[in-house]
Amino acid sequence: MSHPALPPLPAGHSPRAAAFWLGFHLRRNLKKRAFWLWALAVIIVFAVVMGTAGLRGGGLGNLFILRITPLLSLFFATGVLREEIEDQTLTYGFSRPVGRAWLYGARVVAALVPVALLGLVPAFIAGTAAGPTAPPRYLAASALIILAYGGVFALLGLLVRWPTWLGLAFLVAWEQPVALVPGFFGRLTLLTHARAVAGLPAGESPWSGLLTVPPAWASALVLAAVAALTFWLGGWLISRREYQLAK
Amino acid sequence: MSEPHLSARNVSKLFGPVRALNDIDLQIGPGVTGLLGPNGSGKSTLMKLFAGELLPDEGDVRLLGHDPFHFAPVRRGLGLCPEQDAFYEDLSGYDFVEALTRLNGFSAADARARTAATMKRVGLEIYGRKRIREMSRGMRQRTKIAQAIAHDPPVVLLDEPLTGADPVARADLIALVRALGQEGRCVLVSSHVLHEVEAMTHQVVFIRFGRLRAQGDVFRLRGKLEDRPYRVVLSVSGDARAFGSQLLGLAHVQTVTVLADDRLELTTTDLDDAARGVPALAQAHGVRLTRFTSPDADLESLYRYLVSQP
Repeated sequence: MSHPALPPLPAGHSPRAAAFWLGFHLRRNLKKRAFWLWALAVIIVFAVVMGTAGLRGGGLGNLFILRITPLLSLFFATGVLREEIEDQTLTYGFSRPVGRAWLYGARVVAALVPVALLGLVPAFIAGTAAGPTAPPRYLAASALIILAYGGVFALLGLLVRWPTWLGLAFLVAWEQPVALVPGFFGRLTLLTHARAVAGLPAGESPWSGLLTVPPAWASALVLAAVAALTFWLGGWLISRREYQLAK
Repeated sequence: MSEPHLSARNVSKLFGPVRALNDIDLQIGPGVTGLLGPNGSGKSTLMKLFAGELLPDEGDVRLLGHDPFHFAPVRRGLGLCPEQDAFYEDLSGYDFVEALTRLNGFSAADARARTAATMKRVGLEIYGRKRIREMSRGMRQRTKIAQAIAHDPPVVLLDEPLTGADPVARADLIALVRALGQEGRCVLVSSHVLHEVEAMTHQVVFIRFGRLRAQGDVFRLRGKLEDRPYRVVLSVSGDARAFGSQLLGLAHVQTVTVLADDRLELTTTDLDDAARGVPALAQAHGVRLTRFTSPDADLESLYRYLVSQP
């Protein structure tokens, strides 16, 4: 009773399969109603703040890079695997000869590309309105904040049952208020580093003059490191843990 | 070293305080094997362990000689049809099967060709173009089976594959499962419907309360139940009562009951001996035997016995 030889796999199968899986889920994500509703919401907010509130340049950048993009990352990234766990479709990917971490990475990137589409365009427009040197800074800050928050929220989706609520609490109760605390504490938030990369003003609060801004290059490194660490941690976790809907 | 397609060595699996599988030790080779047991007996848990979806808490699970959870390449040899009715509902059957076949290492063209051939094989050549959310339950089952076999795996795990299928679809799927086994694949099928399992295979694994209760050929297993003689119902033309007393002379016959003027029921310890001895005795005494059936020689009888044991 001896089993047959293992069927062969092409060289570099996992990365190639992950690239395919990314494209497959990206196409599905871009067809989802949620993506188009968010796109509509972003357009409406953009029109309102430019038309009614008269926000320009730094104000627009603050709103889109530091307020709306984190929310978009939250809603798209927390559902990366949670949705598949709840729908019980995770089994189809996980029973294939592809490393789980590769599938996870593909799913996270497939979730973040729509966020990039919704976040980078307003950031570029805001940057253009802020001055000739702002667009690259705004785009870099936006891209890095999408990756960093995406990694954090996707990881949260692996760890807890209701990641969106916990993520929202993280944004509202930690990121937004602590970023306004003068001194070192502000640097413990991703928002502070995104602000530093974009070169955005600290805001209109009475103590905003006290806020110290880290160098842009250091903040870019911090955001990149957070993204890399959370992506790696998510991949590591998913390769070792069982994921199935509890009966 | 000779390794079976699937093996579990002293495997236990706990969900919190519940021991879903308890010291399971079994090996499964080529051909179709039925995985049987009452609800909650641990069948799906065993399937998920073999598929690399779960990790054993104790013991060792092997798929084609490797750990299916940690060694991803071995899953190239696995086809899994899960129990749950879950899909990417927005896709057509073809797109669903093709996408999953791509993950098994096939190019787009190869995956498309394999998908087309497999959809034809499972009877979804035309209806497979529908979106999955628009499919009937039977079509969804066929789609699930298609994605499990499109990449030609040597091991196929089918968890309740006939659920929701209509009678014609059931007959087709039973024939398909048998064909998969005849092709030399190791096919492990779990089902609650015993006569359907019986139509697929005589090789069975019984699990109850997470423990392995029996494994092997149904008839051999049934033959080992010495404390449970077989009942045999006979229809005769002639004097049933007189023939009944002749039957008592056969060594393996324990009791004879006259059910009607032309019907008898006997109990025997050896069905093979009865199948040979009773017709010969009838012929010798000029009795015409028109019916010889045993309600105890089937899978259901064995199943009832095994689940009735503490």
